[in-house]
Amino acid sequence: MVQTSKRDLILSGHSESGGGSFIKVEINGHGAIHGDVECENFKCNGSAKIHGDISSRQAVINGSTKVQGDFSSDEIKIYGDAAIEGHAFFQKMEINGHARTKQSIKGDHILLAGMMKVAGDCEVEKAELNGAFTIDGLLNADQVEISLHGKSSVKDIGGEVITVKRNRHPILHLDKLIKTLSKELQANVIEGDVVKLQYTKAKVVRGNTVEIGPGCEIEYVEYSTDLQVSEKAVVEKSEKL
Amino acid sequence: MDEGLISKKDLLEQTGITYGQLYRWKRKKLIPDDWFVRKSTFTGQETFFPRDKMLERINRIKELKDTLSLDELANALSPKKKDINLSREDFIERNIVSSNAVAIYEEHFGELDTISFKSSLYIYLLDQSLETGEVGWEEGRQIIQTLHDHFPKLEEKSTSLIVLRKMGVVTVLLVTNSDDFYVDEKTKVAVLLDIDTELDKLLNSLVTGGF
Repeated sequence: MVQTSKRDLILSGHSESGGGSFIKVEINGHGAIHGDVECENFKCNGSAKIHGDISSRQAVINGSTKVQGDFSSDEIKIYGDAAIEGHAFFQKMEINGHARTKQSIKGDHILLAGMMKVAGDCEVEKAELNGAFTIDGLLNADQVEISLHGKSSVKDIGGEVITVKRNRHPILHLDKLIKTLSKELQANVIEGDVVKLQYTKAKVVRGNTVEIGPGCEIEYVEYSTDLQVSEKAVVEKSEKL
Repeated sequence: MDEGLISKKDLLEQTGITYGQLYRWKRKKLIPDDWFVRKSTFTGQETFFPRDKMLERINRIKELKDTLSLDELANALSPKKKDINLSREDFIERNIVSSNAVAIYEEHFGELDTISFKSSLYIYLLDQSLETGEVGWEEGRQIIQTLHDHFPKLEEKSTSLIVLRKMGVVTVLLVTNSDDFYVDEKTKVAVLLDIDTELDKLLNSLVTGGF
């Protein structure tokens, strides 16, 4: 194999390039990359379209980025707008802007402070979701901490400790992003060892210790150790195993 | 309700594991996704599992989880990530497979020095097929070729290897999730191997063989 030394790829202005292996990839204007990109640092400040996969160590998206393939990076930070057609794999993903993925996402730690839409599953060790989100599949995490800032929905949640609460102090820049300000979570099934909910509408909640807080509407609760229901919550049916 | 299935509720009760553990194991791919069977019941949708496979898998995880980390466990349970190479001599000497099976494989793919885990699985399956006495040298080559061409696509699923024989003509099939199937009366099922089960057997014989 021919060994070539890696270089940087910097696209400024309106430009296009093929993919490849680089140290640093930076897109400042309106750029398109045709092919897979492999690099240490990926940064997009403008508008970028990647017709392929991205794999990097660190990725920062300040502008708007469209990835046609998979996006895998140890660290992903999204301050702008990211649309990922494939899967996302990461150690840590921070979303302060807006992210959409067409497939499932998988990683260690996800921190959301903006908006997120995942068409597949979300599998992480720790999920801190502080914005508004839609997950069409299963949210599977050891620790799920949801602080509601807008209307959110998820098909199912499964994990060890699941807490959903409503924040009292809205973050200013979020209000601009989120139009529907009804701060509630809709879910089908929520299953965990410890489940503490507020302002959640769910069909089934199962857990060992379950706490149903104000604003909840739950059709059926199944618990094995303890159940507490707030006066301001509606639980249609509950059963101790 | 289907007798071969166990509901999630019963499973947790019987095995004493928690939701947290179940979901963690699912995340780590210790439990294959296609074992999660969703069915609607009177309380809405519920998840079921294939009873025997699931109970066996959970016992195995419980046995091993004190000594191995979850990632190591995932390696031990998933053939794809298994990264070992065996020498050809060890493989034959320790009676894991017959030298015939290795010979068929080598005739097809060339001489082997070391055997990757995947090849060892193919050879093992071939060997198991040969042992039934229903398949010969020529059919063996067909089996190896089929496994080599198509098994990687089915790896994450539970797959069976089936060899059908009709009027001396042999067909090799790789089928996923085959609980039951029927053939016409002139066709004979020469070999039917559940690859997950065979994989476990192979792993056991490798472990007892000191690998």
